Amino acid sequence: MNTNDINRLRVLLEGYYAATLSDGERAELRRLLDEPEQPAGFAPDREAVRSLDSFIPPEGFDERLEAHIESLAASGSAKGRMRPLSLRWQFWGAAAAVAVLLGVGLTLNRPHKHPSREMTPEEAYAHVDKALTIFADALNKGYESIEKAEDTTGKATAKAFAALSRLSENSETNNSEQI
Amino acid sequence: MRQKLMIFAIAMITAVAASAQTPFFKKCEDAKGITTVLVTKAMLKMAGKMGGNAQMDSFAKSLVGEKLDCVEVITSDNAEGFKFLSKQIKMFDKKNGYNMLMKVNDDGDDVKILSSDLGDGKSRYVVIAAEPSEMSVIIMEGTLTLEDVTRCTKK
Repeated sequence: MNTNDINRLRVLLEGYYAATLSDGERAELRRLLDEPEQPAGFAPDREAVRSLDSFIPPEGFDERLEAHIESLAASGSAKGRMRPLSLRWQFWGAAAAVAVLLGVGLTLNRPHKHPSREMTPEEAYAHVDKALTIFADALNKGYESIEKAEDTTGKATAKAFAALSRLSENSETNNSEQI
Repeated sequence: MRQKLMIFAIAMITAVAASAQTPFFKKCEDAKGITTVLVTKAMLKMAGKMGGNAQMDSFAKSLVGEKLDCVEVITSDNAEGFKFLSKQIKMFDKKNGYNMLMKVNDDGDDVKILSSDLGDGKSRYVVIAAEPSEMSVIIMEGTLTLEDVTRCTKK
């Protein structure tokens, strides 16, 4: 084996390990490795090539495998292998979805002005006190209006009675004068 | 299992918090020109237990801490808010279970008090105080009566 053959062997080995050799180059590599006179450093490569050659798949294996996968996908066999979720997991899944939706809804719709969780009890009391005061003022206004109305009605009734009594007195006087 | 319980707890708390607000408050809280204040039962209890406040007598404390479930205060900040509230207060009608208790028109100030029965001895009182350019709506829920309100504020 001359220097050119050794260099060629090295190039072919690189191509072999990179899986870039053509069928002809692989045959050339095997021939060079089988030559009796070659440096001792190539012995491991020779063993590796021989071992790997014994594992080479039969011709047309790639095409057959690809065709089989495609036929499985087309017939829906792959889909049939998906196991449906049990009712229990469906329930918990639905519960989780509802919780997430409610959580998002609450976050988006939460009171953005003075929510009670941002208040101190003193502030809360101040708001309640103010609310109660407005409520009571409204009630008092109503009660006062009723009292006023009663007072006005009472006065009007008294005036009416006084006028009636005056009329009655006048008519009695007139009657006695006529007699 | 703990995660499942946590999910349910969050869902329950969320549902309770959402139901604590009246539909009117929910409509108002995101509106422009409106200030809303919500005081929940938990906060009312804390306010009722608050000590050292000379303004609060024992009756007022018991009213706030025990008889009130929720207080909502909604006020208009500007003309836009006033217009919005004027439109929304129409939902407090007979069809929605509200009865007019009192209506007072005092020199341009219009005050209305309405109530709605919530069952279990509980009522919802709505006070609408409208001035020519401002409006406040107060909503109180609980077992309080009109007498309680009058008594509470007599100082």
